[in-house]
Amino acid sequence: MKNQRLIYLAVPVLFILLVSNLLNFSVSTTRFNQSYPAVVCPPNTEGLTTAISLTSSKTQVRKTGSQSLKTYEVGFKRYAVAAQSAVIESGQVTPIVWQTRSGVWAGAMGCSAPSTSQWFVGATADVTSQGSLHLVNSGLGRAFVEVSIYSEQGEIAPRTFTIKANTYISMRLASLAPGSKQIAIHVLTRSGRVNGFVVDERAKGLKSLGGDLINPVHEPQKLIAIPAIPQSVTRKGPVGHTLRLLVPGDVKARISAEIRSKDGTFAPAGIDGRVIANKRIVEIPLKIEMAKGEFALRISSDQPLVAAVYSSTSAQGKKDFIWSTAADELTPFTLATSGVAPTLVFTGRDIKLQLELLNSNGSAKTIVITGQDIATYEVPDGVQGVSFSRISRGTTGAALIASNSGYGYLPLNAGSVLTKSSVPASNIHVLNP
Amino acid sequence: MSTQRVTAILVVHDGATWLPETVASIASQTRSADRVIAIDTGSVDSSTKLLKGARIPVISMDREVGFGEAVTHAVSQLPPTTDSQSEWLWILHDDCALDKNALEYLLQAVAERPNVAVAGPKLLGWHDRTHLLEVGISLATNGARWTGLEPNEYDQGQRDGIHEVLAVSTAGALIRRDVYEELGGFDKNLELFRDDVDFGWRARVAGHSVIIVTAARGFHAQASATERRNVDVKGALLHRPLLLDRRNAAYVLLANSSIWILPLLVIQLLAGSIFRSIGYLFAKLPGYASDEILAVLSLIIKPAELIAARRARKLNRFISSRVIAPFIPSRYQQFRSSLTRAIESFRVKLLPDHSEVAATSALEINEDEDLLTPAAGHSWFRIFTQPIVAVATVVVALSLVWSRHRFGSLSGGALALSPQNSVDLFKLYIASWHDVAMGSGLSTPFWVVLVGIASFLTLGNVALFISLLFLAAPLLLLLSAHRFLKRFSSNGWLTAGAGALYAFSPISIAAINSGRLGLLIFLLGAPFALQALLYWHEIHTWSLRKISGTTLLIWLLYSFNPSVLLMIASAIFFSAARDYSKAGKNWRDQEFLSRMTRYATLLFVPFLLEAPHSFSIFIRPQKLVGEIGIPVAGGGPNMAFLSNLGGLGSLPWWCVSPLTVVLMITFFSSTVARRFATLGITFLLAGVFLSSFVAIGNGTTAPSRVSSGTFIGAATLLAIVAAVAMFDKIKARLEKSHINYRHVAIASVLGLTFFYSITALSWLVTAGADSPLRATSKKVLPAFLAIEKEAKTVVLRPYRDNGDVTLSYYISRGRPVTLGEPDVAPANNRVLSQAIEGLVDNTGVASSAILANYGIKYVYLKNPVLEDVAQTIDGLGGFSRTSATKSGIVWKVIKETGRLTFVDYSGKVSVLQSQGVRAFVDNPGTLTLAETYSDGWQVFQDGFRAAKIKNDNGLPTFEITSGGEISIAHEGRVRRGWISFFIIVLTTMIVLALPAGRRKSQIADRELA
Repeated sequence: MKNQRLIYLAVPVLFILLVSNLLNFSVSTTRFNQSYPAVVCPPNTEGLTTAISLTSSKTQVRKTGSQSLKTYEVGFKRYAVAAQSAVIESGQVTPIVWQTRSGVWAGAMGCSAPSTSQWFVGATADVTSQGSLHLVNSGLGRAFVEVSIYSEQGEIAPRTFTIKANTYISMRLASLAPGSKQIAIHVLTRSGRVNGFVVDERAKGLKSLGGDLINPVHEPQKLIAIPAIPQSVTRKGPVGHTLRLLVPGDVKARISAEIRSKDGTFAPAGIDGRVIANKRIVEIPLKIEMAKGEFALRISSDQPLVAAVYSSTSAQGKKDFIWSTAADELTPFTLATSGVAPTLVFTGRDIKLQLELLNSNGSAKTIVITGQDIATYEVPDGVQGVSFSRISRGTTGAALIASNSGYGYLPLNAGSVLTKSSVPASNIHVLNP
Repeated sequence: MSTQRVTAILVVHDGATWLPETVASIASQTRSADRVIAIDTGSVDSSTKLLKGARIPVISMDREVGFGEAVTHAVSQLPPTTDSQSEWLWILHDDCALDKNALEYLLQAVAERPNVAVAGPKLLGWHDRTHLLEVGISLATNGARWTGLEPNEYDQGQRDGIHEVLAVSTAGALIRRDVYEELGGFDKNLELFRDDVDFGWRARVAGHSVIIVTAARGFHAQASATERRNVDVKGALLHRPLLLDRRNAAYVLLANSSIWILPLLVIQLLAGSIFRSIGYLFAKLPGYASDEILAVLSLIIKPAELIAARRARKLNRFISSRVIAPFIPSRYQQFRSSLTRAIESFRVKLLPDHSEVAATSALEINEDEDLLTPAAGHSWFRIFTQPIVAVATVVVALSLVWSRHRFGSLSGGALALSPQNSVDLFKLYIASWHDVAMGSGLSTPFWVVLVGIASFLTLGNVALFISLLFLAAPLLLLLSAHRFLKRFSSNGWLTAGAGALYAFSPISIAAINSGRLGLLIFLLGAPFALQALLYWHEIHTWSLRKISGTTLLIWLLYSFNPSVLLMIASAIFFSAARDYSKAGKNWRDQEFLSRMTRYATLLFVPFLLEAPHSFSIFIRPQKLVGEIGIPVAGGGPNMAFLSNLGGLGSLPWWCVSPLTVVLMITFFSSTVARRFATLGITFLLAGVFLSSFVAIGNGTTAPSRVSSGTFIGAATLLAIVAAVAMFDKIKARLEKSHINYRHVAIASVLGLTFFYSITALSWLVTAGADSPLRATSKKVLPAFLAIEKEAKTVVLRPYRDNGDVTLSYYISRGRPVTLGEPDVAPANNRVLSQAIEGLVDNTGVASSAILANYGIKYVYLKNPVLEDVAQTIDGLGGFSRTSATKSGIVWKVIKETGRLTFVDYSGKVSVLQSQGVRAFVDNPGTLTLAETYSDGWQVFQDGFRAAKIKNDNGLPTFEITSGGEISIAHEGRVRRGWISFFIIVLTTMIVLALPAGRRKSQIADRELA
């Protein structure tokens, strides 16, 4: 009798539990929307040439300067922007912008999605400065931006700018921090979809001293990796570099540094244990005794900081300079390389990643990069896109591009990250405190 | 020797039952009456024979002759008086026996007081002769006969003495003959009842004195008033004593009172009659109810009678009417008396006196022993040795610690903020249109009114009532469970402990912590419902009253918990199938039909009472598993299997309660516990199954896990009942047997209960106190938005759910949502939803224009602000940031918008400012109202309705043919119709459920004393 009861009890209980759990697993209560925000490229100003590398001629694009958000097919894989900024629906592909003043200087950067905070370490505002800060509002609403300048003298009172819908404004760096030799700029977006771009262009009288596009970082960090600093060697020996640092917080930072090169890993002289004053630009000369090539710099600090390395370069007989900036840890994305053949430099303790080269004829080639401390790969001509995947932890990367106009650097950061946003659902709960 | 002459006038009418004793009492007086005359008004019993046997001369009169007329006739038969002041009339009733000294004491009293014209004896009950009936009488301002006595007042001599009174009963009254003749005797219009008060009143204003002499005692059966005999006097329409009584009461008041207070008296009498009629209707005594109304009407239709009576009284009024003021009870006295009666009535019902009179003979009492026995010590703290008091004290202490964040106006979880006062809840119920989101014409469920009524306990302060309810919830749960569990065990500690387990069961904790008002009411009512349904198998024997009462209880629980209907429907379905089988598949079987009728009542009447709100289950059947208030997700099937609701505010899984284990163990019991366990397991498994589903709750489009709280709650109660039934006297049984599986099972249940008590209570007083339901002063909207009452705002608010940030929105009208509003929150508007989705996914280029079409002025992104969403809205265009504070970011929709948008024939768009329901238009054109379209929306201009269409956005648009003032209103005829229907059904059910009143003729003699 009792055994019978046990069956009467156990069978329904187990059945209901099983069915309920099966039903329960298939329950999904929230809807999410995943998308890559459109990326914004720096505006083309007078005298400059801007070419954007894409992987597909069918990429949708629009430009600032109109009241419409309507996009159109670009029609080319290398898109030359005559004026304004291009806003590109490139999905997970990060287009490369190659901006040049023909025969004078060249600079590279990846187009990126709007950001609320951008730090630009580099440039000058002294008499040699021809550089400018561009603020692009790619939205249809008015934007408010706060720009803070740090110099070797300290922080200059922030200025607020209003940018009309779907337009950009430019201002001379010399007007933002007159006389400052060393500057860093913080662009803080209070409202709107804003991208900042800094062009560091210098001239002494009529003589051009070169120029570069300065790649931004989003937030100061305690651990900074600058993956690719080009080492030039002249007959007089290796060309020096300058490390520019800014500790934006309220406390001084104590730093240490590590050079990673093909020759090995070592600490540069005079940096380890050095205390960096806060809220002012500090520059440290770097004299690296190594052969021509690339090296990486890794800075550790007890306070968040931003940093970049200024390097004089010489490419195809043309003298230029570049600002090597910090790169985020490498994540899977595709870099559009149509028309450029960058040298990819990766750094990390144990580097391992897979590159997929997408040729213009549609074929693809997979290359596995392995190494320790630093590894380089020169992308051959005719490759329209490089996809990074299977990346080992702690690996960062940057690309160096050389042309007859000059040298360019861009960190291998995804310009647009897949954004998972919840589709808002009507719920009266929001009206309950 | 006394010079007083007394003529006893005995009026007889079918009084054979009492007459022998009455006659004997007359004969045995220590001071005999000098003359005895009996007037028989057409008795059909043996009264005349009895009188003749006693050799009392009898004057016969018609059966319809009234009491006063009979006495007057007797007086007229007397020889003329020689000494008018010494001749007395002793008026006697055939149902009133006098003490042997009565006349002597009366005469003694009047002899000492020459101004006394009327004297009466103390009247006691006929059957219970210690029960005081009257020591003088008066009339309350509502016409009620006023004795000034407490109900069933015991005569201990507390009223003794000789007192001035307004009047005395005619039963045993001694009246001076000359005064009687001077005043014209009893009023002929008062054939029976109130003639005594009227006569006393008239004697008083004529300058005479009326006294009660309590030494003289009479025992009165009040045969006419208690309907022990037919009232056949001509004024007593259809032989209705109450009608005559009420009519005469009103007559006496109106005929004797000062003319200045007559209007007030008329209103008072009318109101009193209506009020009492309603009372009689509720007591299912329609005859008495009609008597009340007819009594007043019969007076009103014959004003000449009253006018004549007032004129007649004027002739003998020698002093001011104010002389009777001290004898009329004040309103305070009347109120206090009514209150005392009501309290006493409740006391008797709630706390019946169980003290039993010792059946010991007085002879057996050892007086010495009694004196030597020390008085028992009754220290106040000994009350805490009672199990329920001790456990309740612990529960209260724990509740206070647990509720430390809930002292104040509560909101959170499923509970919306409380409105200002209960009137707001009534308004919400009555209103045909609700200002929630884009507006809603959904009907409000009745629980809103119930909360409003319950808030009268806190003087209409809803917030205070809700706070107190949630604070006292554990104690109330303990008491309600304990009251029911006492049926199953006499062990007070067991029942009190089980009650505490119910109060702190996982489901109770979840209900309180997550603000589930409906579930809490269910848990409080479940023991009562279980008690009512205990003999479900005998439902065919249930009386109409019991079925009606149970139906109302089910409706109450259903109103707060829609899933109760599902439970009842399922139970009825299975029972009906079983009954059909038992009836040999003969649906004409009488018992089967009887059961079906009762099932149908239990199922359909609650459904009808909740109509039309209940009809929504036909459109959305998932509402049957929903909850009232703001939807809160359940915790899924595995938590439900642990008898834990899971989700917001619930105990963590590791606080495993013993309830499921108890159900499993008691399923194998051979006692009554097994019945409860079987039912409990059924409810538990139903709860588990339902918990695996998702449903869309009130005011949301996002589905969430079904919260099967009512099923788990029922399983919890049944598990506790089963445990009590099993544990009752278990100790004795276990002691008698060797260690076996029973010992192991009991030990494991006790062990698990101990573990649960420690873990659950520890959690409660620590993390559990930080519940979603809490007292808060937080505001949903920034102050400047709250000021704009007419402005609609899209509120976007991020929540974290399983690591993902989800975004929700709702449309606010400048205030937070309040109690009841989530239940009428409108369905999703597709166009608007897409526009709002576009704000987030960057496709909402036209969102700004769409929001403006719906009268939405602002978008508010509440903190913690999602930067990418803020950026998207910034970039969309059509919005301008108005503020960005620590509470969030506000954008203003750039396009001008409002509740009323007017487009004239030239195409010019303007936003109209309305003042209440009125607005002004300059030209003809079309008017769009930013409210969801409903047939009820009407615009009136110059007394005409404007033509109406539903525009592409689903908004009502009206054709205005000329400039001028317009008024906008939502027509609520349908709503009013439903409310009327509800009131009719509810009143019927309440009348049927209330205990039936008894006609006086149905009251036993011993109860009448």
